[in-house]
Amino acid sequence: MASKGQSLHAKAGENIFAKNPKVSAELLALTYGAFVHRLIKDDGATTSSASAGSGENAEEVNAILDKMGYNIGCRMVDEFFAKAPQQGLCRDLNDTAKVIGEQAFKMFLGVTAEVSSFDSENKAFSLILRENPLADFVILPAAYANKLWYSNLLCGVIRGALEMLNMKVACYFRKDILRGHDCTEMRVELKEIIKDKYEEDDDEK
Amino acid sequence: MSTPAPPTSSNVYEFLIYNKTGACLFHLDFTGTINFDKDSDKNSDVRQRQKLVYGLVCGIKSFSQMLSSKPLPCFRNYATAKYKFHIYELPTGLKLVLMTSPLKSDQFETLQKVFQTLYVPLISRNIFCTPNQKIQCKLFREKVGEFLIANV
Repeated sequence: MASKGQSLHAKAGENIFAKNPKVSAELLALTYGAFVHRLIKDDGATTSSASAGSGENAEEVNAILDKMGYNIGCRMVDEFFAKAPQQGLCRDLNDTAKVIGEQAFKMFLGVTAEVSSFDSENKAFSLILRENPLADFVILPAAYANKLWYSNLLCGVIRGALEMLNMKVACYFRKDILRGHDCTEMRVELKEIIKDKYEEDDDEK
Repeated sequence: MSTPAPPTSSNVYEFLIYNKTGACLFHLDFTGTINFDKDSDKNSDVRQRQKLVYGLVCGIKSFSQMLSSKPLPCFRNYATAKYKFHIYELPTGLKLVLMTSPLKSDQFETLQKVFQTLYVPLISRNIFCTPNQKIQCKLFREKVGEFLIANV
């Protein structure tokens, strides 16, 4: 896509980001970190084996983060359209990916995600984050280093937001800087487009 | 539950919010002529009216799309001798519908502002309100009433 330095989406994202009230990045990172830490401890405490700290509950914590992100995403999509009212329907997945990576990420997190690795049928793409504001100051303990996806909340947010837009997607991490990879990569795969169903009238039966 | 006296206005007649499945999430009447008592009864007049308005929106949208050679966003308003019907539709399927006096100009921006300054802060960011469910928030009802009377 031809870009004179920055695409339209990136410019829009930056403008909106500049106008919005901001929160300290450190506050966000530390709060999120404390939160994930608490989830691990609480989840370990409720399972029968003393697994907190041993890395066995990483999968459950991943699932909880995804579910929370899903609930956030469902609401965040309204927020997105309130802040970017000129944004209409996207023509294809390419467009959607650019809006998410260049505009939405910038608007809400202050960083842009690079869109790449479209598959042959144009049904999946990757979002590459060079810097992840949620993961500042974080080191994963050895037991969790290969099982916990620390920023899994983001996957849930993308999944929830796109579901409100009638796109059922699977979103998961492929790489994470916290695991020693060179960048943070999220894979988004379009599973199906949901058709609007009109609510049934019970009284007509 | 006793509701406070509804606001009345000579400019604004009605305001409704629908989600993408056609469920009416919110209905505010400024004319004092709609009876909301039997709201739980699915056959009541007010429910029929809500379904009628939704059907109308879908119908006009599809007709206006069929007549156009290029893809169109949702129509903005239509006017009759007695009222003007405005709509703001979001890509998420949320529809804000407003009926006003026919002399009023296009209220697209008013509806946008209702969404940005009232719906998002009071409903989307409200942990007690589930997305796409009927809106029970009293504060929202009051604020929307005030806003529309002042700004239409």
